[in-house]
Amino acid sequence: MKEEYCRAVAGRLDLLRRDKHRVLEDLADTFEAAREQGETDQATEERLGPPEEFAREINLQLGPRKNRSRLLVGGLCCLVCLGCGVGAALLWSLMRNPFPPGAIGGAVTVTSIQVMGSSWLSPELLLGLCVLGCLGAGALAVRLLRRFAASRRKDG
Amino acid sequence: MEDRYLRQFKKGSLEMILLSLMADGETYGYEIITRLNRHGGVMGVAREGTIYPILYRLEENGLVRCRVAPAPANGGSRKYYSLTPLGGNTLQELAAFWESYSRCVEEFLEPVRAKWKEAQP
Repeated sequence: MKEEYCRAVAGRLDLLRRDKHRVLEDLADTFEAAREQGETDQATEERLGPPEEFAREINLQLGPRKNRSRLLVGGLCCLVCLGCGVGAALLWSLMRNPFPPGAIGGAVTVTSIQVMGSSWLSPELLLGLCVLGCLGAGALAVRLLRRFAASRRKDG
Repeated sequence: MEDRYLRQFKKGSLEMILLSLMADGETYGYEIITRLNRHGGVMGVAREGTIYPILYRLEENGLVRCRVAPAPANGGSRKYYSLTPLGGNTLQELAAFWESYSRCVEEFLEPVRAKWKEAQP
C-alpha cells in the first residue's frame, strides 16, 4: 500500500529532480515512522490525504522552482537558437557569394583549394552544425516554454 | 467563514511555530506533525504536504539543519531537524514581533468586541 501510494504521488509531482527525490524520501520515512508508532499504512494514507491532493499541495509550494528553471533554460535555448540561426544565415550568404568583389583568379566553377594548416571544419559542416543547433535549441525552447505556460495556467 | 481566510491567516505563523518546536531540541517530521495535531482543533489538521516544503525552505535559508541518522526500528534512515544559531535568533525576533503584533491587533479588536457585547440582548 505504501509503495502504491508513493508511486501515485511520484507520478504527479512536477518538481526539480532534487526536490522530488527529497519529498519521496520523506514520504517513505513518514510511513516508517507511523508504523513505529503503531499506525497502519491505511491510517497513514488517510491522514496524508489522496495522492493527487498530496502532490498538488507539494507542487503548489515547490513547483515554482522548477518553473523558474524551465523559464531560464527555455530563454537560454532561445538565445542559442537565435545565435545559430544568425550564424547559419551568415554562412549561407558567404557560401553563396564566396568571391569578394575584385578577386583575382576568377575560375569558371568553384574550385576546392586545400590550404596547408587549414581547419578540418569546412563551411558546409559548420553550416550543418548551425542549422542543427538552431533546430534543436528551438525545439527544446518551445517544449520548455510550453510546459512553463501550462504550469502557470494550472496554478493560476 | 471561508476556509481560505483562515488558511492565509495560519500560513504566516507556521514557520515560527515550526522553529519553536525545534527550540527544545532535535526532532523529525512525524513528531512535528504529531505535536502540531495536538492543537488540531485550532490549528487545523497539519499535513506533511504543507509542512515538508516549509522545512526545506527553512533548511535552505540556514535556519534549521538536517542530520540523517539511522531510524530506530527499521534500519533505514531518518532526518532529524534542529535549529541553527541563525534559526534561534530568528525565532527570538519572530516571538518578540508576535508579542507586539498580537497586542496591536487586540487594540483594534477590543472596541469591536465591546460593541458586540453591548449589542447582545
